[in-house]
Amino acid sequence: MLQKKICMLGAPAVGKTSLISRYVRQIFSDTYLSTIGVKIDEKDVFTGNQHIKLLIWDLFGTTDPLNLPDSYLRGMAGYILVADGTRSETLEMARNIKSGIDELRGELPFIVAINKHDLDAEWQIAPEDIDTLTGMGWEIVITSAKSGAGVETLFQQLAGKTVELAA
Amino acid sequence: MANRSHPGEIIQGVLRQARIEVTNRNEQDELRKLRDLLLKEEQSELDQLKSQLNSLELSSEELSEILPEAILISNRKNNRLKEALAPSTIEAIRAIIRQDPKYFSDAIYPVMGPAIRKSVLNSLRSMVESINEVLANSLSLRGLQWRWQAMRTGKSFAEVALVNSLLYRVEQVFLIHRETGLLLKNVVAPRIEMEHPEMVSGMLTAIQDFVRDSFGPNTQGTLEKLQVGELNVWIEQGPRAYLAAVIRGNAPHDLRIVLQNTLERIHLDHGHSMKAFSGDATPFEATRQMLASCLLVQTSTPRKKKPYLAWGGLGLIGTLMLGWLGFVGWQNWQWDSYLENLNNAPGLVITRTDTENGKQVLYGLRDPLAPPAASYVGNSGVDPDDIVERLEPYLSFSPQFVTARARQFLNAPESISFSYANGTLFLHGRASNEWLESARDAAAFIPGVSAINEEGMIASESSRMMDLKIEIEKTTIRFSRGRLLLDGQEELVQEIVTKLNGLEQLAKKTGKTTRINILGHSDSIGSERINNNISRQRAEFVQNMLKLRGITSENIVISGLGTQRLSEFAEDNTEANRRVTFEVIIE
Ligand SMILES: Nc1nc2c(ncn2[C@@H]2O[C@H](COP(=O)(O)OP(=O)(O)OP(=O)(O)O)[C@@H](O)[C@H]2O)c(=O)[nH]1
Ligand SMILES: [Mg+2]
Repeated sequence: MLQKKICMLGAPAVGKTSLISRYVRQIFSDTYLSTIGVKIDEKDVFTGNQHIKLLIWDLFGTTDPLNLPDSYLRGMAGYILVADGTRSETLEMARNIKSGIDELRGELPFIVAINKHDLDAEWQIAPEDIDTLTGMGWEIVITSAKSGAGVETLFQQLAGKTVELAA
Repeated sequence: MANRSHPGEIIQGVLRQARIEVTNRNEQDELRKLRDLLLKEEQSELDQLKSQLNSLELSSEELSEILPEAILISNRKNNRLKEALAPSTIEAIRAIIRQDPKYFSDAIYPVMGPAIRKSVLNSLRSMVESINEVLANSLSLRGLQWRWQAMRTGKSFAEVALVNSLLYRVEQVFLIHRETGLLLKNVVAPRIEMEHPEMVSGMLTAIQDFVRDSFGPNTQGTLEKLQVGELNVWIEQGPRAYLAAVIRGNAPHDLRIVLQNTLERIHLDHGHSMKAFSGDATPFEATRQMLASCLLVQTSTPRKKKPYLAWGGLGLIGTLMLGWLGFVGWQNWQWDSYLENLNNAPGLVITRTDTENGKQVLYGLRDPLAPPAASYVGNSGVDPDDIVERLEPYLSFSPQFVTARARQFLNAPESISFSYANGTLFLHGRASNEWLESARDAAAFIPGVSAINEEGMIASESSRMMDLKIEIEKTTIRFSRGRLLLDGQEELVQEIVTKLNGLEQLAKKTGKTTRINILGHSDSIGSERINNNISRQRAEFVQNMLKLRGITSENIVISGLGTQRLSEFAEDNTEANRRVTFEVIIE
């Protein structure tokens, strides 16, 4: 068994906490309880024949990683950048966060989740936007914490990346 | 009254330091020093040892591995090695790191900042309450017993009372990787259930930072103790990993030493695996036994019998008598408790005491940054005027002194905090690159510092640049239908100029380059060609305005995006889209 620490990063209210609670507990709630500080969850994942225990650090929403205490980011093996598909600026913020992390911790495995896909009437992200990002080498998963779509893939992929890198 | 500090104790302390040096710095130097000491004092024994070693065909490299272990074992068995080393080690004391007699931070609940402060008060209050409770017993039978014991042993009554009420058990021990907060190994006492130890490890790690943040960067120490419901968690810090012991009840301070020793041993044996650790905890299975040795229990209150019962029988008269008898031992006891204060005082080493003309003379060492010995009288009752200090200056390598020296020496700004462990000076906080560079050079000259670690540093320039970038990118310059600025936009342009100038200065300092994209946009009325044109003209217009205000950088690129990026804030695709925005790229 390998333990891997990963972090959920993204602007406030994009659904970081909701994605985790969908993934770990199969629960979704419409109530918004903003995360203060950090909450840690764990989940066992299997990729290939490797057993990984993901320690998922759910951080408070911020657009600037410099706001986060050191130890929250220290030692993470990878991270998930969450954006809200109904607010395209949160995707811009994800870029900021990414460059902040690169500066603070160097390049690490990461995946972008564009969340709330169930709200298709309000969806603001054009396929071209996503193409631009994938063109930059970003890996993107469209998710909905509400319906559960994409959530499993999201964490599974990142888990895979963290061991790839270590191997 | 002479020679109050038992040499054995001093040596034990010194040896512990020596071991830390050997353990953590892993420097052959220290081993050599130790070997030299052995050679000097115990030539014959050493010859014997040598021939034994030779017959076993041990290389010096093998010896270097065995020696620390041998010292450990010998220490555990008896005091002979300590005694043998005593004379020369005292001489060498200046050269050896003296460990911080860790100060306890108070019990803390891991909640929000204000709540934490409140709970510190609460736990202090309840501690005082429990002491009061004990004192309320002081006229009872038990109280008499304790008073008597206090008098005999020279300890304070409260101390004896607490020790006698002591009942504790270490229920779980965690070995946690410092860098990642991941669990290396945990052990639990029989019949204790443990859920999600991996998660608990992470939380303990996060809490430590949280506490540091809540109490501000000037909290020098690290979290050593926290209270979770009825359980206490003691944390013992090491360079690569820390131990967390979950304790029910009141554990004695000696437990701290057990934890320290265990952690040192683990660093000695597994330091390398800890450095290389990236999630696979199997190498740390081997620490089970060592960790299990920390699962200590004290199950019953020791009960003294007959003689004290007799005293108790005397009731009140007995108390009065004891009071009188006690007066004789009173001064002794005062002096003892004062010396104990000194023993625990960082930056002070008392090697010997003497009486001279009715005054107490202290011999030993004092770091110039440490307060004078007389200031430690506290409420021991000793009169500071009765104390004469004959203390030689020395440099203490206790973290608090090394860090205080570093602060002075490096002329550090308020925004920087320091910590220190095993020769490494850790810098945390924000400072200019300029300062950091000079600090890097100067740090080598601080006694006790062999390396600096700046992982906790944020160059204030970079973060300021980031802020400016974000501010500039948030700015929108609005236009009329044509190429004219709407009211109030000139001021915005002026602000952009100020910010760009600031950015440029910071870029120069940090050796980075900045590139600015000026992006023109248009509404969706009209043909695409016209829209592209007008949006480009808007961008040009802003570029010219910047030029006129002295922004002549070659790294400015303009483009007309037409309707490619309609504003998400615009309701009707018109006004709000007639605009110019900026992108800042920092490389
Ligand atoms: N419809 C829909 N709502 C979602 C989804 N994910 C999250 N939400 C809602 O968005 C709000 C914010 O969700 P959180 O998970 O608390 O967001 P967060 O990113 O953790 O927020 P912070 O902790 O404050 O940074 C809540 O009201 C959620 O119910 C989703 O996939 N679809
Ligand atoms: Mg949250």
